[in-house]
Amino acid sequence: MTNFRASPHSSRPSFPVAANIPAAGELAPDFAEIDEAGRRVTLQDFRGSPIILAFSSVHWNPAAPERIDDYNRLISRLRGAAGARLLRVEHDGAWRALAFDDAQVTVPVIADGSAELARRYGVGEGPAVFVIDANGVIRWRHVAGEPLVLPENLTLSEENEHETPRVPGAWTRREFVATTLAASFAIAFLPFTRRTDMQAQTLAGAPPAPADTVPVTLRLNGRDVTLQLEPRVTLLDALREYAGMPGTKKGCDHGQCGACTVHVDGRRVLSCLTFAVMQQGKAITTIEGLAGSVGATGDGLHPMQEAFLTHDGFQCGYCTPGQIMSASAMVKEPWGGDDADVREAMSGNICRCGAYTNIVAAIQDVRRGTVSSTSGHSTGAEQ
Amino acid sequence: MIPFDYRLAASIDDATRAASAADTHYVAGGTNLIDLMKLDVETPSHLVDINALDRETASLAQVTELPGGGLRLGALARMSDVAWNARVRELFPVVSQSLLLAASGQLRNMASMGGNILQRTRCPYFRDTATPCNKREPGSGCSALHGFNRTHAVLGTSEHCIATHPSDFAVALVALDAIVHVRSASGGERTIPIGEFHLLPGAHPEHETSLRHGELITAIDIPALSFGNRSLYLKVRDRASYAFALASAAVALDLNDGRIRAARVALGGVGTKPWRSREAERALVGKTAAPAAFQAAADAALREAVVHRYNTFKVKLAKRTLVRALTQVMA
Amino acid sequence: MSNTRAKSAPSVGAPMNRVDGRLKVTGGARYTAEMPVANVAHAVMITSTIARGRVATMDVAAARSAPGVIAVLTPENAPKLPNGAKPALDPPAGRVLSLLQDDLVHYNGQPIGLVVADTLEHATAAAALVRTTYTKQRPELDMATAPTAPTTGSGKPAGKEPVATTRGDFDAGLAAADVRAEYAYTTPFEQHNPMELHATIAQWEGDHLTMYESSQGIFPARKVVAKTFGVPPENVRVVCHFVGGGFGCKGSVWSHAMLAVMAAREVGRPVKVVLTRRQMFGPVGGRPRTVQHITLGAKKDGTLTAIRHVSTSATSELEEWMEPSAVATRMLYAAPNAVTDHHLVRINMGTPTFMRAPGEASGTFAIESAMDEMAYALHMDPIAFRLKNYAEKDAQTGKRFSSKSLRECYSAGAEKFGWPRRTMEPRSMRDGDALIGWGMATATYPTRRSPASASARILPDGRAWVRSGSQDLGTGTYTVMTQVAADALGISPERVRFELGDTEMPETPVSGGSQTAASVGSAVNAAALAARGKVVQLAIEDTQSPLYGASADDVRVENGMLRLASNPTKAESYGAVIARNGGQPIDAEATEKPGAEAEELSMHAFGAVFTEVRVDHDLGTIRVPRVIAVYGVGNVLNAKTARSQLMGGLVYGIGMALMEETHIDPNLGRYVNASLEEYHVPVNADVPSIDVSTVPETDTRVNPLGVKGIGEIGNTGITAALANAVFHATGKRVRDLPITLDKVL
Repeated sequence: MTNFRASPHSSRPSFPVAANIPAAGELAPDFAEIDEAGRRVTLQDFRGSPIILAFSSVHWNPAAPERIDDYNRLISRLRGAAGARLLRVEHDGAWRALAFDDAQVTVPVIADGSAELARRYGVGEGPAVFVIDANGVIRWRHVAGEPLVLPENLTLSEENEHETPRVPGAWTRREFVATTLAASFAIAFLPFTRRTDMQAQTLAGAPPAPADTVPVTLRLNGRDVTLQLEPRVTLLDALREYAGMPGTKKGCDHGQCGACTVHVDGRRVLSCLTFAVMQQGKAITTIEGLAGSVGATGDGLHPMQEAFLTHDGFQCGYCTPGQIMSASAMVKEPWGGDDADVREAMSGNICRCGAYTNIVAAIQDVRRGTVSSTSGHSTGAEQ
Repeated sequence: MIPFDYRLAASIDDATRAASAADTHYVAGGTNLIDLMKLDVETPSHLVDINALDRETASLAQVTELPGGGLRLGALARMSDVAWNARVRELFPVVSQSLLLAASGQLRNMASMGGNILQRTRCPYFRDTATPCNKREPGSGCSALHGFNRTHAVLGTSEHCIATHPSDFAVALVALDAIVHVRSASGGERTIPIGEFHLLPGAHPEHETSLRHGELITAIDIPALSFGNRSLYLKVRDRASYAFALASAAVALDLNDGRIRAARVALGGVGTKPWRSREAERALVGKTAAPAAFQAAADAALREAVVHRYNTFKVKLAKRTLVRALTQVMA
Repeated sequence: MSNTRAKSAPSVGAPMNRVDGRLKVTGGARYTAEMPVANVAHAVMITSTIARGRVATMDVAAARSAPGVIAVLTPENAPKLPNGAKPALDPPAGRVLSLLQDDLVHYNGQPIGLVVADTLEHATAAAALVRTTYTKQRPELDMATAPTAPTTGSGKPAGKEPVATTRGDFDAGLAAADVRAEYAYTTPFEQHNPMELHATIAQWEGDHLTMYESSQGIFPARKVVAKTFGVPPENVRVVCHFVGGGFGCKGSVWSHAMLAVMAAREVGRPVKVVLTRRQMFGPVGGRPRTVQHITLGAKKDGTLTAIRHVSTSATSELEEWMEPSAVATRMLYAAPNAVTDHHLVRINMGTPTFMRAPGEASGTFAIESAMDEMAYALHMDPIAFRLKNYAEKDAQTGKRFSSKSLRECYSAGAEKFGWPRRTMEPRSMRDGDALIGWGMATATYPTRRSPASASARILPDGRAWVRSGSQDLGTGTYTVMTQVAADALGISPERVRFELGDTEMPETPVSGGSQTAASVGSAVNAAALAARGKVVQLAIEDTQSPLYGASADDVRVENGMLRLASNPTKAESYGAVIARNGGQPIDAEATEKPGAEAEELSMHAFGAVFTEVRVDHDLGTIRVPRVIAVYGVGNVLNAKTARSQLMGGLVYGIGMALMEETHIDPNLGRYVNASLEEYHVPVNADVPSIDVSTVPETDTRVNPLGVKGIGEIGNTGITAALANAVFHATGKRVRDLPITLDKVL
């Protein structure tokens, strides 16, 4: 592994432990990854140029443009790059097309197959961005779940932008767009990783802890997460508002719809009718962690997720995490085998779009596919 | 929701001591209490979490056999555990059915036996602090009397309250003469027959049970009943599942050659408390198990019914529910 | 010419899985309240506890000093808005909202304040500390005695439909009838109750607003928000990638959203407000109660001689919103003499709004129940009676239908259902304790379309990005637009990314009136064809291209390959053409507008719904073992999502028919059952096997894709089909929805 040359103001190890997200002022962790074209890529390859290292989920998400806009604001504040506008970062294929208002550049993708790079940067399912200066020092970062505070006039080099851009680290706007970025905008795409890898670190203690809060440690999807909460915070709100895991839905907040269903010690329960502080020491599985490792299909889905997808067991999708969590636990309960049994067992999960028939078909598919296993579909996180 | 102190009790003594303080509630499953706290209907300053007590006393969360043939349901046993329990299903099908026909799979995994019989009415006015309610705020008046009272009780009502008791399980328990075991902070234990556990609203609907402040339910005993296996719970509601009863019936019959030797009858969805109908039982005993006797029992059970504007149908419905339950339990 | 479809269409129609499905099953789809906005404060609404009067005092001292509280907005201190309490646009485009501009209370549960705090818990607790006193007035809560309201304002029916119509001579027609019948039907107040609670996050940067809003119409939202706060529309960006169900209530910007925007500006940081389930009853609309009088006259042979359908619906003190229940009756049956009219009365409730098939859902309950009653009066089979009066052209306007396959729907549905085996006599079919009833009804919904725009970009590697503002409420917009674009471009859907849900994208209409597929689909199709056309043009003008010199009309595109129809060996890929021509993406935009077809033709989707009910003869419980429905809805873009959506409409109808009703306390005006516990919507166990199918229907005139909307028709006819089945089972004609067990005991 090659490090950037040592920064005088940092004596920290160049490979921070996985639990930490490197902060501004720290030396950027190095990496040596193979890009999808088969080339070995290290930070060293970009020596002398600032780098924007962006992490993004491998999976399409229409909300991704939100971050693109935030990052655009960042780019607009980078000295010398005023006016440049990142229109798109495309997420699939071996090369990434970065579209600007006046130029299109393509950059190699670092396939972070083992998620090692993401771990090194403390990043979960993303997105996240690190701006690394020519000296290899992180000058700004943003990781999903933490407050976005854009830097003002972030200068990544001591050079004057009007001078010739051949000096390493300085650039004109066009250089920035067409050359520097083309060489240095590495986008690491993460495999299916658990959000909590990141959330556990970024959100614990992120908001200032009010006086009436207590530390609450939850075992979420196999990982301990400590949150600073008032005792009156429900498990549902803890997940959605404090742990950055909004996959679990709030539909009624009173135990009347099932949208907030999670597993506690393998059993389906309603997260809206229990306080987070009461669930310490229990194994909590949410929709984000259901696929886990055991039983997941090739696409990283739990069989029940796959079945819902195939059978169109949802429309708007809002009740879906609760339906799937309920269904994946229900198959372990001693119900009979008929459709009518499934209907009754699933009646605590309301679907206003009326996908019930498809939900029943999905569940029956899963049940019939695994009749030999009485233990049903245990997930890694629950074991 | 107002803020509160939270304490996880390590032992029964620890729990009862802590709960003897004013403004203190036990919390087990939380499915009713936390719901009501969100509505500001319940406003405890201190919560004592009793969910870990089974570490000290395992039987608190278990179903165990009683000498002589009955069953003891630990107060912390969850609805689903009891509902699916093989001995419960064998000896007292009415109990299993009353649990499985209630709430949802998720709620049944949370709600405890003790909490179930303590659950509070679903009267919408009780649950809405913007409206008067004698049960929630004594003396403020009853909005249901002249309001929308379709789901309200027709038996055991008073001019101060017509709120229906919501539990299905408790209806089965009153039919079976269950015994509630409680512990107080002084370490004293006492038992309360289920029939005396819930109170009629009378002039004080805010008093719902004979439990004293700080007392902890530890178990519910279902005494042996030779014909407990011939029992049934029938529930009629506005949708096929996940709804409270408009009317329900818990019945058990002891038959001898087509004649009824003994009978247990209780009604749900129509009473201000889980409604044992000894009138119906008397009408059945000694009679041939046939529609005429069932109808007579139903008429006897509802003889004292008092209806309001929107719930008149409940009298007819409760009668037919009871007749159907008696008919089905014969099958 | 530019909007003719690609010849081969392998993707459209296919039962493709939803492209956003993976996100939805993994919890990755981000709904409004979940958007990551830094430093967001939480807001909770304070709502009135009386139904009519004025706020006298609001004691906010305790709330203001409660932990974490940032601001408490009340009518006393809320900033004055440029328009005051007036709506930004005439209703229903804009709504008369409760924005703390005055102290008036028009219904119980009306927003009268907003508490902003650092956490949800703090905001919720502080809101409960506000003590409000009122000057009360006696509320109007009973439609029978409530004052009337004009039907000329916001209550006009959708489109160009008039409030009242007359054709022929109704009195003469009725006099000429052999059999006359007059019936009164009522439909209850209902609440949409999508699973996702209404939510807004408002973030100001200077005088620019970003608004994350759970919305069925991001562009209309932008317009009304900008106007309300006195900023230009281009300063407002509305974002909504996923809507957790709408059904109409998210088609307007309601008070909570405006209050969030107001509060965000006041406190200088982003503000998030998420309604409670109780707050979904009142402040965000609902279907109003209707009382519908229908008079039918018929000859002995079943020929209808006269139809009269007069509907009265309830509205609020705030607006004159009318449920246009009698509109569908106008065109439906070929009676020569017909009268329809609508009236409004005002009561102290939240303003009603569009709810899935507004007008048609409630109206078809009445007219299709009445048709069943008349069929019985005539001793005719209900299908035969309908066929006798089949409208070959629009019965009101005389215009031709763009297409109509109702006859085929009746026939296919009857066969699938086994209708001929039905014995007509009520109570004639039994099974143990159950009375079996079979009922049917006609379903119908108009086909609409509005102007819409889209952009398409073909990338150098032959993939495409297609964007169009719009919304996906679970309706499948992401998926079907991907398919439409793929076919227009001649590439596989995997190579298309379709994006929506942002006012920075090309403008589109509200997702209401079942018009998204037709409107947005036409634009997407046109934009994709335009982009394709540009590449084709590059190729035929490029001397290095094997297609050089060919006519554009001769070029086909399949699997990303441009190929001459006249000489299939001459071919090359999008990528090859683009690489030789600068290597830059090829962009195109298109706007599609409805043409003269709406003037010239009558455009509707039709269907036939058949239901079986089992009614317990003692207990009155009604179960629905099966529903079979057949629709003629034009071209189906995705067989899987279309089936789901039609099925969803039927489930919505089962709820409407059998259990849904919002109860308002007769004294307090309080929404009594404002929860999912007491406002019963169908649960899984209520829903039977549902068999939905479509008959082939080619309609070349409605729009370039030949599609008719399917979001709402599923919720029409079904209620009457169930009521008719209950009558067949029990002999009891229930004319007041919902048909709860007490009505058949």
